[in-house]
Amino acid sequence: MRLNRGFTLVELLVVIAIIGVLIALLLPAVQAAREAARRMQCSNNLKQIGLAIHNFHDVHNRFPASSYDPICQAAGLTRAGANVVLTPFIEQSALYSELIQPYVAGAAGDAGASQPSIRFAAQVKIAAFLCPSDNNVSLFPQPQPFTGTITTGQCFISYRGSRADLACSDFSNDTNMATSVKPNEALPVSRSWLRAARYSGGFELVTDGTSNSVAYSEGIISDGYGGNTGGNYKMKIASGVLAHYNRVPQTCLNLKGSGNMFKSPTQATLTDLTHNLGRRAWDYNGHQTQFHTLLPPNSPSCHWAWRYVWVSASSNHTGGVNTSFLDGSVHFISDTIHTANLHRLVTWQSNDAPPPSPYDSDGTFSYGVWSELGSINGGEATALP
Amino acid sequence: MKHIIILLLLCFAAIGCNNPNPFGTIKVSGTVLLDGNPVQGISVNFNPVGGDISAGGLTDDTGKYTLTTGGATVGGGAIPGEYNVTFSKVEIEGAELDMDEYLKKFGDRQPKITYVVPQKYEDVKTSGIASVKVEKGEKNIFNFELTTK
Repeated sequence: MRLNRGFTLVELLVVIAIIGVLIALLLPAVQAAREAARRMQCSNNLKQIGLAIHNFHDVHNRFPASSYDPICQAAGLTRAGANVVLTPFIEQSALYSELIQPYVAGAAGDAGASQPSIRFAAQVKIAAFLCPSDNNVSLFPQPQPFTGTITTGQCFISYRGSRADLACSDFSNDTNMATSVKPNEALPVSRSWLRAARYSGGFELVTDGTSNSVAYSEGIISDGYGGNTGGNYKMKIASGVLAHYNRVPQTCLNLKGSGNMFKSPTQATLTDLTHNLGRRAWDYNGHQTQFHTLLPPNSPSCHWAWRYVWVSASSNHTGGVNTSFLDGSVHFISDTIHTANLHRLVTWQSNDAPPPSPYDSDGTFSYGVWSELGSINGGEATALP
Repeated sequence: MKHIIILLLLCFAAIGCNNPNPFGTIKVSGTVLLDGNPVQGISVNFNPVGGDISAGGLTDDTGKYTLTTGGATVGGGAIPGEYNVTFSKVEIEGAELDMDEYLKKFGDRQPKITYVVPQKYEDVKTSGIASVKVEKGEKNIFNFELTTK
């Protein structure tokens, strides 16, 4: 008789409950392990980019320019900069030779517009440029004929070069600038290793030390959605804020709401068409290929008439972003990294005056540890926290 | 059985343990009125006097704001101390355009800026607003009346 006893209901329920608890504990761990693997791949890509910068420097004895790199200019490839000239150093020589060959100027005014192979090359997916933690990577468009130019071709990139802590974009160093440089607009570029063509230099500029200077970091790729109704601030760049080096960066941070959403959607016109954040690897503007070490990682980004931008580093990793440094190392930077008083105004002097040095009335120029890591020549002894 | 349940509860309690307020902030809120009316989207910037970390907020359609500090929204509020407060809201011509459209329309021209909140409120020196003290144990509700005249 004892053999037929079976299990009581309570015993079954207890066993089921225990199994349930075990699964509940294990599942997140499995997911976390998957994300950890993706994060590792992301940081490895950054490492490759960091090494590419070194190899580029070995060959050319200077850093690549953020835009209008002399090599690109010689090939008639306007606007293009670091991302293009670094490709041969991440084992994309074939693509590079497609991108950089001397072009016949196309109908749209930019080189290469009339050459189908070039247009195709501008849309090639480069695995080392894409971070698998970013879901928007899957939005990478099928290569297709387009009427634009190489720089307007959609090639996604999850990584952006550091423009240190001052709002500026290469838009303000545009071709017009080549003939009429406005001194006050030229100044801000000098704090970052990545400079427009006119200001390029090499490791000799990095007086803060290469291990204390940010090279590249991550940026979420735009979801391609435009309009004025808010949304995820990591995927958009807000307008309607005076993002400028003598304005208050806090005003951009204030747009941050909970759950990665803009706080007050109607207050910022959120321009975000297909060319934006991370969608044009070969283009030149601040929001396309660069970021600033000003607002903490995973903060909103803002632009003022595209001339000046505050682009924040962003990622889908929990709590921060991977960041590569000029010594080739990659570190994880927390969202809570010290960003000091983001209210401070930095007022540049008159247009023709030399850069104020020291920069601010109290003798320093700094928005905290993040900004000090971003600058290559600020004279701060800040090392990684 | 009882011990096991208690043990399980303790485990779950331990899982929830991390620091939700790394900056040691306390809640701060209030209302901003422009000529007596609430205006949505005024940036309220708290600039620490001699301090290190700023705080800020954005008004909603009733003019109410709540402060957050740093990049982390967790915890919210501001670090206790004295702050100068500035306000900013602008409308920028062509803000709805994407970059290529913008280039076509404006070229090298700077777009026009309309100051919804007068520009003097953007600067501590010209705002004429007395500093406020965020203190522990207080209500920390700060209301501001701005005028366009």
